[in-house]
Formats: sequence, C-alpha cells, structure tokens
Amino acid sequence: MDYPNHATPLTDDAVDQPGATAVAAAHDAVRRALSQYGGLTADASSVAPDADLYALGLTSHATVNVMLAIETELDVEFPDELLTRSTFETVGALVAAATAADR
Amino acid sequence: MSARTSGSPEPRERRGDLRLGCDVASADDVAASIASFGDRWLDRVFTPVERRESHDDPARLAARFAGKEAVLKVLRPRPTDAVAPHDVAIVHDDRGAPTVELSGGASRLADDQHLGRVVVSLSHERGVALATAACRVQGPRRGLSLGVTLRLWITRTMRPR
Repeated sequence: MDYPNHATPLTDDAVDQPGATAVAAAHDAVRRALSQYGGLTADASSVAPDADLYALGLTSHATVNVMLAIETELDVEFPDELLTRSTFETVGALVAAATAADR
Repeated sequence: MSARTSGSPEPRERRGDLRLGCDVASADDVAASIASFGDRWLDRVFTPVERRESHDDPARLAARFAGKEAVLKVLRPRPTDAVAPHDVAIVHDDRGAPTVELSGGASRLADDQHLGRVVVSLSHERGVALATAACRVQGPRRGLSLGVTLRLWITRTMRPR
C-alpha cells in the first residue's frame, strides 16, 4: 500500500490507520449489501461474523447482487478467483474478500 | 464432507455413473437484479452470446441462470473452488436446443473429475424457470489412444525381420 510522504517518520498508529479504515468501510458495505440484497432470515446488521450465511437463506442469485452492491459502494471488483462458495459463506469472509478485491 | 482429492471422481462413484443436478430461478428476481444493477449484472452473469440469444428477457435469462446452477450441482465444486458465472455458458445448438459450454474453473472441475459431456434441459412458465443437468462419470483414461495404438501396430508390423 502506498502512503503519502511525510517529513517525520510515521507512527505505528498512523500506519495502521489506512488498513483499519478500509476494513471498517468493507464491514459496513458488506452488512448494508446483505441487508438490501441478501434475503437473509436474520438481521444482517447483527449477524455474527462467522455465522453461515447460506444457512440464513443466502442464495446463489443473491450472492451476485450482494457482490455487485459491495463493488459499487467500495469501488472495487471481485476477481474471478474470489468467486467461491467460501467467499460468501460468512460476513468475515466477505469483508476479507472486499478488502482484498482489486481497486 | 467429501474426501475427494483433485483429479478423481467422488469416492463411491464408478465409471459410467450418472450425475444429476437441478435448480429453479425466478424471472421476477432476475428483473429486479436488472433494475438494480443493469448491464453490470447482465454482463457479470451471462456471456454476450447468452444475452443475445435470450434478448435480455428475464424469463429466458432465469432459465439460463437455473441452468448454470444445475450444471454447478453436477460439477460439485468444493467451497474453495472458484467458478465464475461466465464459466458455465448455455447456448443454443442448430436445432435450438440448449448446450453447455464450460470454461475456466468449470472446465477444470469437469476435467479433474473425469466427467463426460454435460447436458442440460431448461423450461420456464409463469415466471418460474426450471433446469436439469446431467453427465456421466467417465473415470480416468486407461490404455493408449487409438492414434498411439495404430502407430505402435504400424511400427511393429513394418519392422524388418
């Protein structure tokens, strides 16, 4: 990841911040996409990060919608190698995929 | 949990066994996705040929979507096997019958499990689309190909004694 040039050395907190911000943004985007397009039987905003989304009603059709909603919000694109069942299995996996997706 | 390793059929399958997969899809759901995401959704899921043959009609696209899913059930990807929607294309043959074209991750799954040609049947009525896919397990190739066998026979026959 590229960081802006600074006249003084970056502190650990400053280095951690961009990554943490990206993960937080991905987390919010994933939960919003699941709320709007996931068709889950549970409230997407409170689903545990490791809960099985397929068991909560996520369908293959819904996964495409969820993916496109995340891509739109974060301005990323999921590469083909991330289009696996496990990518969409949990909130945590989706956040990791969204964070790793191409910008 | 499957104990299958890459490059082999399911443990209990034998050469010649039949695999079946089926799926349903809703034309209303397809129309809703098109309304929300437009060409991005269409282009992400369907190949240009599939879009052209379906005239972007939600009912026909739903049938193809169900077909892709039915084919996936035949291919049995593991949770970490990547298969993009484009990797399973369903296009018409000369008689208008749907045929399956595999590429990318879907093609690798079929090769690794020694699956024969995948066939599919589609139907849709009153907004509900249904698809069934099937293929035979061929098992790993054994013995020599016809070409190699012929070359060996010719070489041995023509050898001076």
